[in-house]
Amino acid sequence: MDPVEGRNRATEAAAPPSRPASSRLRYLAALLVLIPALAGAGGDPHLLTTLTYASVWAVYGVGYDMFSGYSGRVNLGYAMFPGLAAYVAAILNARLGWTPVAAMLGGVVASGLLALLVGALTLRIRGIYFALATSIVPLALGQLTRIFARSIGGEEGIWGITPLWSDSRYDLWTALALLAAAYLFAAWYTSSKAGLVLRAIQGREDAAQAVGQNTHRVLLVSFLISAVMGAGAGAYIPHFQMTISPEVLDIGATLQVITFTQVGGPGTLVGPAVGAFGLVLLNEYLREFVEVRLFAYFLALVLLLRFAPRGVLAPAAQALVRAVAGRRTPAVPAAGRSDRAPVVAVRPRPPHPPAGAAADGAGGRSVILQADRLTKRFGGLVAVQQVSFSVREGEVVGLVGPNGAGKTTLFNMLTGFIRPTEGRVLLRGTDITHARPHEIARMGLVRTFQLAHPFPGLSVLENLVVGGLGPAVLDLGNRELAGARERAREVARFLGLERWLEQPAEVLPYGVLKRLEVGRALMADPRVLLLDEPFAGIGGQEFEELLAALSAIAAGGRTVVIIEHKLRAIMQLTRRVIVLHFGQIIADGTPQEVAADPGVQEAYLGVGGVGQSA
Amino acid sequence: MQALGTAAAVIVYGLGVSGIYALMAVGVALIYGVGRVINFAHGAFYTLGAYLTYLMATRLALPWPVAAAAAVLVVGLLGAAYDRYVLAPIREKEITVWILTFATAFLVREGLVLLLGARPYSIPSFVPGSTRLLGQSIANQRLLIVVASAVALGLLWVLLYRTRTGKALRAVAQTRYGAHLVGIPVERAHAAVMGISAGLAALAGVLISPIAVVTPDMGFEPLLLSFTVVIFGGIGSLRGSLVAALLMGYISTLVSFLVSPQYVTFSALATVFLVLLVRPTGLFGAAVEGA
Amino acid sequence: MEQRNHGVSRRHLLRQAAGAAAGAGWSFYVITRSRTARAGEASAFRVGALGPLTDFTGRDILRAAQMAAEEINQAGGVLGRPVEVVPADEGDPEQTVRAFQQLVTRDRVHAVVGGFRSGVILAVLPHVARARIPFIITGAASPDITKDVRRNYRSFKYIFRAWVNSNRQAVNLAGVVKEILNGQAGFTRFAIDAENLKWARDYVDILKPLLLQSGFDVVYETFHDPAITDFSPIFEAASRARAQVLLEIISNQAGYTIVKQWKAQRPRFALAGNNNPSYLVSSFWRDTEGACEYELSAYVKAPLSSKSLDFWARFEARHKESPFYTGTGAYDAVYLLKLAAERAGSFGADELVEALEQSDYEGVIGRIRFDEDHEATIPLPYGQWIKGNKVAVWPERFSLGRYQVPPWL
Repeated sequence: MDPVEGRNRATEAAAPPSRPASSRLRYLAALLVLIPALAGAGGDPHLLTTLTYASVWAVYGVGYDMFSGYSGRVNLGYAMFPGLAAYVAAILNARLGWTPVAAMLGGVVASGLLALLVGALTLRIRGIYFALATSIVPLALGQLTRIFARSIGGEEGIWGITPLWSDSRYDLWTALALLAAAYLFAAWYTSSKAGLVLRAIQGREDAAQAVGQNTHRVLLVSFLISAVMGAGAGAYIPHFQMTISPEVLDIGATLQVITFTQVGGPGTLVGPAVGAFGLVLLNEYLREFVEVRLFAYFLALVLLLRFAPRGVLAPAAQALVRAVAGRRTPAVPAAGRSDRAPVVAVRPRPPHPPAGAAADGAGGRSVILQADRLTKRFGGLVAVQQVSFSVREGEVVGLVGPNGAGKTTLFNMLTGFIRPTEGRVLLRGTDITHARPHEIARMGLVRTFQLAHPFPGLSVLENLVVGGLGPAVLDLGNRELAGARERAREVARFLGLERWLEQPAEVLPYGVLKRLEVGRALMADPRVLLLDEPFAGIGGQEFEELLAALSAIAAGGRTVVIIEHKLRAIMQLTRRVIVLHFGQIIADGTPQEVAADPGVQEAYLGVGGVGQSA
Repeated sequence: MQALGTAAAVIVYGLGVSGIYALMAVGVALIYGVGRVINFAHGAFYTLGAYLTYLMATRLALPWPVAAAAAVLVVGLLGAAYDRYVLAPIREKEITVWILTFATAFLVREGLVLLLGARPYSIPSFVPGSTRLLGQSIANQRLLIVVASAVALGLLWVLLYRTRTGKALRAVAQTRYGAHLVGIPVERAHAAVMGISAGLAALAGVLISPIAVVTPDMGFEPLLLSFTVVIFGGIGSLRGSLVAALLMGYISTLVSFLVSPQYVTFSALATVFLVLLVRPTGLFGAAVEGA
Repeated sequence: MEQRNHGVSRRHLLRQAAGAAAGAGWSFYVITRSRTARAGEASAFRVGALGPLTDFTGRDILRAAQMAAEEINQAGGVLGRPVEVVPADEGDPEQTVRAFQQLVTRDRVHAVVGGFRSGVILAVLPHVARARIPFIITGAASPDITKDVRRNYRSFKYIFRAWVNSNRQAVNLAGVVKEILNGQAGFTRFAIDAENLKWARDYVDILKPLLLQSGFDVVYETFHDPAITDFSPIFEAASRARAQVLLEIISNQAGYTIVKQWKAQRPRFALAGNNNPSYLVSSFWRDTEGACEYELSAYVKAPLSSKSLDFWARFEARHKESPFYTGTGAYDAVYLLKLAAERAGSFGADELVEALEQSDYEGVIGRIRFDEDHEATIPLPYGQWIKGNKVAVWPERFSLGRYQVPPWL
């Protein structure tokens, strides 16, 4: 099967979160906390316990959703984090005599460490493989509890754990406080920079790397936070249940969390919480049916999932809120409309002081990018062979050649997406041959993709913003986000994308997508911009607009390497052209020189045996 | 002498365990390969196969082998209908489909408990008696498992690689859209694959139940093991599933005979996890795209 | 994006909202219906029957408790009030804690009987202590369940057990080994296979030293996963160790599998011990197609008291099958509660506890008195399957025949 396809399908199914949680949903969430808190005040232990468990499951749902719902990576082992925290807390308290609070903290720390380990090992795997790899860990942990049954309790688990409170009402309030904290944090996190990057990764991980995002770190941090969130609630379980058993680690527990999420509405944060309350209460009230209870519960689940596959509770609640709260709600403060107005300099930057004559290209300037005998072999096939060239600062270089000449492979090697078999890449004298794509992008070498790779599910504005974000995962106060939005508007203006700013990227006309692709790269403020066929597939007015924009960028003094087939673009933009044929450079000179080169003419006319003429 | 006997037991039992794993795992792999569905209800088909065999033999007074064959057929049809009427309308919602199959597995379990009680039922061996092989007495039913699973897998292979239908199914597995373009009825292919997989799972359940007992829970453990096998072999790869079933069958048998049956599941899980770390796509899966 | 999503399909959302409203209405109906249903019997003596209701282990708790309640009601009730049995489903610890709490707070039961899985019941105990409701356990066998009765009497005095805990079961089996398997059959080499559950580990911890003390060899010992489906590796290892008897300690459906495979593979050892399905004397032979023949295991259909066989006959007549031991205990437990309430003249929890401690009752499981751990002192006989019947062979006073060595040994 095709892992790429697998990834895309899993991605598309993960219900791309529609948007950051809106303020009205927060009211709903507040109700969700308040109603049980009031209901529980009556002191009926059964109701209290039920609501306490529901709150705990709701925390799991929120924790699961804030990672999987936004990154699109289904964590089929999620319950291992609350489960391990519960076990460790139970052991620390019941066996080693720690106080409940210390034991709970210990449990959370243990889960955090597990999350780092599992995340580091599995997050590089995608799609279904990630789901399956994560599912195996808790199964193995569950087996360990059975194998070491004598020390950690086996099937029956551990008992004799000190409760945190002696009054069940405090249990509920504690659980609700955990839920409120988890929800508020998750709501902030997913609407912050990190949430945006997660959604970008869900769409196109490589494109996020190409603009300098360390996707592995963002994923790992989010995975860790999501785990710790669940662990906080998990570690609490033994301290009100007073026992703990391997069910908490079971894949069934994770599937339960995902069930709550799917029924409630994934990617909404409120949905999983509503789903948890709804289904836990449903299960309780079905007790009336005695032995038919579980049958009725699963029947209800099957029907819900079959007839409302997008989730029921959260969408219904949204509709309800909308119906009740009226149609005219205050506009959500639009992205970047912050009145703090630090207008960052319009990109492209004002031209560098033209040291030499602009006319002679880059005569006197220093070399910024250098390829040194780059070679790439795929099995027996040599895609690129001994390619060396250098680009000086401010130069605009065209890279041309027939299809299959190795141009894109060369780009992939320059930007770290493919390791060269031999040779080196130097950026301002630094060897970047083994650097990872996001590191290279951070150093100022940024590429675009031949087939436009916008982040689906993100608006044009958001697409641009992702391009302009710095390396830090957390952005307290969302300052960086606000700044990036300002710049994004400028870039959009420059490229004529303003009309589409709020449109989701996947519905744009192709020409706009190609401009967006350039815009996103510009947002990263590259010192060297590598454009992979920016004009492919567009013509007419759009061609002229893009040509004008790129000319302005070139005139602005930015170093550009451009792969292109459209001759007019090459002629207008570049002063130097490198011709690649069968993976080798066969000509390097001004466009006129190259056009006159007999070797090049042969290559394009397809006369055999030309490749050797370098 | 004793060691030799154990070696013989491992060889013969391992083949039987592998056969059951293979019947289960191939179905999981097929469903994933064609429909991209992680089918948590696969174990339910296994269970239903055993129950229907029991019911048809005792209530309709069919001879046991006939009842078994009929049960496999009926479960196959059930599987196809399940795909057509339950999964097909929501196929685009991949995770919802996974969770739905999970709920289905429990719904079947609870339904059986309600209708027939949680008590176990017994199915007699289809081929009573035992045979001496390599100095070890082996129940004939275990030999039947080896033969029947080999035959069933052989037939599957013929179907997939020697018939037009098989070609169409494989085309859908490669690309849904492409298959649709060349006029293959994609939805029917999905239902067919679910039917075949369900039938294979039912066969596994029928074959094993004379050795163990028929209970509403019998499908959960094989479900887990078949998943590990499929991940091991590379999800979606039939060849991978077969090889992995053989490997895993022998790993489990060796562990259970030489160490303790207690460690079988853990060793299977640990093996698969290690394989995933080195080769995320399993033994025979495609290589993961760079990064 | 905001706009787009809001626009998407109001109709769709409304339809879902309608669905949710219908669901809410339905659950409201269920709740109110249940509330009114309960209100009518406010004055009854209510006893909760806790057990896995979808399994015979719990189902027979409910059946037997209901049988006892009907008999008591026909005879005029308890202190002039009818007995009402309220079922509650035992599941995992989380589910069971909630089930127990529902019994206490919504159904307002005066006492609870039943309980099957030790680990689950251990999870419920702290809630019993909080609720202060007498709980007579009739299934779960772990000794830890009653451990706190003496240590923390004020909180845990509500816990009683009308069944034999695994320590005592182990002592019993050691007696069977000595008197029957060694005394009558001359076996000296034993293998132990127990399921990997707490009660069974506790069991082996007692059994093994007792066997060694008696001078027997324990040549092989293993614990299997409760979900086991293939015993051949264990049989193989026990044979290799030249065991003469495999002592099985099994509480679940693996009990069927082990005898079937024992019969099919004919390993060279006898099979004896505790096998829960083998307590089901009316169906075990049929459900294993006679594979259980020559198995020697614990069971309770013996003339343990003058009431025993009469009870079995009535239960079997009514349900067409014999009860599991959790049921026999639950039947007695309801009577124990009735007598305690009458002695105390009250349904109050503390009064019931005090009266229960004074119990001396001829139940179907034997003469029941509670020691200071609140454990009932009752016998647990052993029988051997011969030609479709489980024939009592131990202890001496119930014995109807001698132990027969499986003929293929």
